[in-house]
Amino acid sequence: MKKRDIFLISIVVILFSIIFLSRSMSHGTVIIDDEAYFDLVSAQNYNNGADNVPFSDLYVIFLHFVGKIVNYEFLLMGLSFLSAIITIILLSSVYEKYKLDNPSIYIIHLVMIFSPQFISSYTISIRKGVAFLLLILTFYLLSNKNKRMNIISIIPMILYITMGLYNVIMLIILFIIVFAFEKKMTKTWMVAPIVFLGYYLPFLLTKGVPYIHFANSQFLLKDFFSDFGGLYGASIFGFILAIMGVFLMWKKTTKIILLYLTSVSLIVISYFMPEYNYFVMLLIAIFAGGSIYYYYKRTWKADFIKNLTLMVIICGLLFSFISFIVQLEDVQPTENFLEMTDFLQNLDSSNIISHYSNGFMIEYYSDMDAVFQSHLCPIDQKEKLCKDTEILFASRNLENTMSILQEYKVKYIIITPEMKNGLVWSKENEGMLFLFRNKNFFRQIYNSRGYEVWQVLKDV
Amino acid sequence: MKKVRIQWLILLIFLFTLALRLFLSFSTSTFSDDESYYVARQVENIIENKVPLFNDELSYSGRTFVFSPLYYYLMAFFTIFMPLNAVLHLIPNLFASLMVVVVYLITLNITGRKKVAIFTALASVFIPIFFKTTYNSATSLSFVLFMSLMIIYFFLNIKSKKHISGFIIFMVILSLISPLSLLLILGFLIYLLLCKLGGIKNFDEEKEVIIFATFFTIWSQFVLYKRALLNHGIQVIWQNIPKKMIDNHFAAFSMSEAIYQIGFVLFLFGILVIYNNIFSEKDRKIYLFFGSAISILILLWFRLIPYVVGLIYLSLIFVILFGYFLYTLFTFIKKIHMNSYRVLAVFIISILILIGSIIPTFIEVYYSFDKASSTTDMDSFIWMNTNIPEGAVVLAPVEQGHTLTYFSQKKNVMDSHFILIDDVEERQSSIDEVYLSVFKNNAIRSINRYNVDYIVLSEYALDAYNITELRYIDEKCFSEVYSENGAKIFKSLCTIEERST
Repeated sequence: MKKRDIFLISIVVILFSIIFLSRSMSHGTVIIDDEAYFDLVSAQNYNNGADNVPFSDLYVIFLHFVGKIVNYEFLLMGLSFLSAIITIILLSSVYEKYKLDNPSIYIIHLVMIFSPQFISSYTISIRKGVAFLLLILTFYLLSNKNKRMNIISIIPMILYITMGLYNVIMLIILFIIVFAFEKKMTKTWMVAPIVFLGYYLPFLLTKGVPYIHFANSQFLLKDFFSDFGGLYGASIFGFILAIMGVFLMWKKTTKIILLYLTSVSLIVISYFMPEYNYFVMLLIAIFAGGSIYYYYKRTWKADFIKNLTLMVIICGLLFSFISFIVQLEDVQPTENFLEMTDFLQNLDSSNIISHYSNGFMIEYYSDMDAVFQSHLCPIDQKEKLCKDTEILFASRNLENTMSILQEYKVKYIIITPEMKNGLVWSKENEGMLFLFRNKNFFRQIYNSRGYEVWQVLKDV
Repeated sequence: MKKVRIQWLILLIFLFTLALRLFLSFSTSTFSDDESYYVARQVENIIENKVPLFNDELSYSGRTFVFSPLYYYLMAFFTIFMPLNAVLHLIPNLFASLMVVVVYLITLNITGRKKVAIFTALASVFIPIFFKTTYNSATSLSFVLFMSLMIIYFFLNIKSKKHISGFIIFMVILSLISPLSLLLILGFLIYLLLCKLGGIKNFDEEKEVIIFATFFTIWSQFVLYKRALLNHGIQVIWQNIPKKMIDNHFAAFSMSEAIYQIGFVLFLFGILVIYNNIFSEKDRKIYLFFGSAISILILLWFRLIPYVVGLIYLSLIFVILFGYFLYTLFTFIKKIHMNSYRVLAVFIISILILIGSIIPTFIEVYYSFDKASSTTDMDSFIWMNTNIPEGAVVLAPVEQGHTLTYFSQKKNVMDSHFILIDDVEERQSSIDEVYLSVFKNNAIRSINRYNVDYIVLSEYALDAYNITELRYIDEKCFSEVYSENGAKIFKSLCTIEERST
């Protein structure tokens, strides 16, 4: 392994260790955000044929079986380190293959490692990190001149397809990029549609096309940029730098207009479906890195402006990164959330409601069944569930509220500080909170640091 | 000898501008805008505690501000030499008057004619919208505009190292003071684009300082306004202003109003210069102003910049373009050997400036005297300072929020700083409800929602809401504690208990 790769891997290891350690020390768990818990709940329920999982992919099956031997926390941490390190090594090889010089590889890698998207893909929703690794591996093998390698690319390709129905879009884009760079088509590509149809057709025929999780149009930019609060968003500073990079490299890349079109389509896709923004992370790293490299290499008339500019660019990227790390501290589950779930374990197992973004975390840490869960709830009930959630949280009508609670057999309601601070309500006694004043129907059985558990007492 | 005379002349124009502005400013006992009282509170806090008010217990009955404190420190520094009230009137006017000198320097740079530059500097004194907005305001706008013009001046001379340093220093200061620095950056970027399209080669130094300024400005805005960005996302551009008020701040662009506010002479001749440069002359320096004008027009068109600020920037660009027009005109007259007509041309243009800029300026100033908060309202606010309990919450129109808090030192329900406030719409509608409601229950519900103890029925409120009294007032729930010259203060006595159905 090259010195450069060892250096970059060391940075990744140090960074991830700091993130995991600080998270573990302050909140008691290294698994962050509901998306990661969706995988864990799916893995736990794998043998039970749980109906909240539309497709049991190989990632979940892997977690299910290896999770029997290794603790989930260690397993996810291990996967996080491993997938990030292999991604770095693979990308280095790809960059070298396309004759990028050593300083530019350094810069592109550093821009990527210190991007919020890299951190979120490999330490929060590790599924994304693994998916990205499989995609890069597929590209690496497909673009190899060795035909045997081309055939081996089928393995990561199949694994990638099974990780999500809409991954096939990313795969098509990958094929276009391979074609743009390598000007070749291999028979291996034919495997993709066969695997896709073989894997998903039975489900599609029986249950129809599943719900696509488009970002809420109101929060599109918020989801797309971490600086606006998006957990899986890009650094806006990096993005601006990347746009400049595109303009600076324009002359060299007019020949590969196909690559530009795919880049634009990738940005559009990840803008509306933020779970696919890991590809944008790579684009930003390449173009922003290219931009920095250009400014570094350029002959400046005033040298002190060069130094100042490079300093500002580095500060800008680091600022986005650091503020994202600070932001991570507030992502659920926090120590107080876990204390609340400890309390839930003492209660009888039953149906529970909270904001959908807490659903899988509550299920994972207690024996309760969360009625409202994030975007992957059963497709046929999706529309009604969404409507009922809205009605339930907004209604001040006791009769309506109780009938919905009865319909879903809800015994407990969980309120978090975020729900009261804008996630659901922004005013005191707004919507459902107003009804809690009725002691005949609701009783507060837990209240600690803004986390509340309410018991539903009787029928209307 | 001639050089000395020109310097004296520009000094004279500067002193005349400053004297005129100060005379008008000190003619009123109050500022023309509510925001000035917010500046006064920040500066007072710096003088007393050495730090500005980031956490304010009075605004919105307790909130956090997001801002850059540099300007307030600058104002606080001047209070070493004179009282606060004098600083708040003098310093912004000093910067506004200094702009005359900068306009002179810029016009001299682009035309090379001292007389033209002097005439342009004189014309810049009387830009209606600029004069009206800044002569009686303690806000940072005058300083920001002065810095912006200085940056443009340094940019025009960017080949010299001294000016590069000046550009960098002023750009850094401007970025740390106001997000309007982004406007300048957009102008520079459009300038580069126009040069590329027009086949004009830029100096390397130009590109270099623009690259630095772009990155620094973007980064500094993210550092300064990070919390606001996280809280409001992209909506932060519109400063979280309630829907009802947004049309006043970010109004739709109106050509006729723009022509009047900028001055039709400046506007007309400015447009002529741009037209001429697009199709024939292609002067790099004019492209800079053209780029800036385009950036402002884009932002105004899409309502991304406060209307008044956009028009002021536009007017400053047009005044410089007017200088270039004069230069072209006199060059043309000389070229066709009709030098005897120069005096006539100057006379006609002077008359046009008088009609198109000077008279509208004084008309605007005359009307803005009315807008300055009346002493009647001020007296009621001052009365509250000593006559109502500490910690009491007072409801007044949003537009008087800072003034109320400054004079009464009491908590308000709402003022014109909306960033980081989650319920601006609800607060705005509650205030409207209190002033407009016919039903007592509705008004009391709104009053209870924000724990309001006192309601101010100011002259401004009567005028703004077009009312003569609060129609639901009765002795059981409201007691009148103050009534002088039309302004009244009521104490709220009742509460309404809500029950679940």
